[in-house]
Amino acid sequence: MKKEEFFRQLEYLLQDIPDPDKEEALSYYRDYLEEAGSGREEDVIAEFGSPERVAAIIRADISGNLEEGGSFTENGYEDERFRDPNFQVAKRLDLPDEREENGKRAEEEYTKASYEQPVYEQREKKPRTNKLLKVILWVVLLLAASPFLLGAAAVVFGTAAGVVSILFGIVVIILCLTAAAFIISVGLAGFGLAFLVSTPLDSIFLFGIAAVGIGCGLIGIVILYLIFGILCPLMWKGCRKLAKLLVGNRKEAGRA
Amino acid sequence: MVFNTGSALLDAIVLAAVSREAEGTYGYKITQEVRGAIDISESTLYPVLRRLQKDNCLEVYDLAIDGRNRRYYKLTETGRVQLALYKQEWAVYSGNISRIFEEAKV
Repeated sequence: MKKEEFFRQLEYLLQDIPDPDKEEALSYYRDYLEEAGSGREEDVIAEFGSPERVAAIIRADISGNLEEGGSFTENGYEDERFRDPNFQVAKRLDLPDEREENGKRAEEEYTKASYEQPVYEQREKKPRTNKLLKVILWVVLLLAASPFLLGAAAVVFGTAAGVVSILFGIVVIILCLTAAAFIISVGLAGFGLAFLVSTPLDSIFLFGIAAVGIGCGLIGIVILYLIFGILCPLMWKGCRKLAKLLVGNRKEAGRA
Repeated sequence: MVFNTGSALLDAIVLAAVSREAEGTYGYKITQEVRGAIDISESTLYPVLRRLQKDNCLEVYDLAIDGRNRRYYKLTETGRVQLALYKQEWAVYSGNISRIFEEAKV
């Protein structure tokens, strides 16, 4: 990484710390590079590590976190918090020049990163789902929504029961009316036959009314036939369709 | 280096490096001298120097060199006392460790 680029990034990373602290830190590292001379500049920047690492060092010092930290290890003095590859929260794969200049270590980091990439993608593709969790979530949802669901179910059930009762009532009324029409017609025809000799005009009138009654009864039969023969199968079909739709949906949801 | 030690030793080494120059010395030179003794990164010393400065072990002054300011670090009286303490502690510590290694049967 070039010197200007390094300091540009470092300054950007330190933009939220107080100006005097920032200036002091930046001038320390700038001076350091000046003293190192232009010949060593590249090496020193490479050894500084990423701007993120240097920024973390400066930050830790300002926040007073550095009191007890760092120790001598096999690799010399280091502070675990500032270890370069580990420190970066996200790998900066968008900084290719840094990789090149950091040499072998960065190369290792890069191969590691590219090795890790497919695994990560695989994990990404797999939908995050868990059957048991799903069931538990559904149970919790149902429990939480139970007052509302019960209310809604009661309303639906009540409405359906009401509609069915009304329909049933209408059917019963039609049935009774039809039966009554036939019975009355038969009765009237009987009377008509009884008075056919004494008062033929009256009995003809009674026959006429009986015929009207039989006609009404026939209409009632036709209506009943329509209800039982066509409307009921239709309703049955509709119910089955609805049930199928619901069950089918659940099956599809289960498959997904 | 297989032994891990706390940061006090780094403080001691930095103080020792600074104490070599009576008039004070600057960051790059201190780092190079410390690197002569232990393996540290070029970027490590800034917070250490700041801490020693805050603890009144070091004082700083700027000197114009080649048209720019160079920051010099110099031992204070507190720093001198601290360094003496470190030297003494190290003599005891390293002496004890060395003795037990010398007596060890390998």
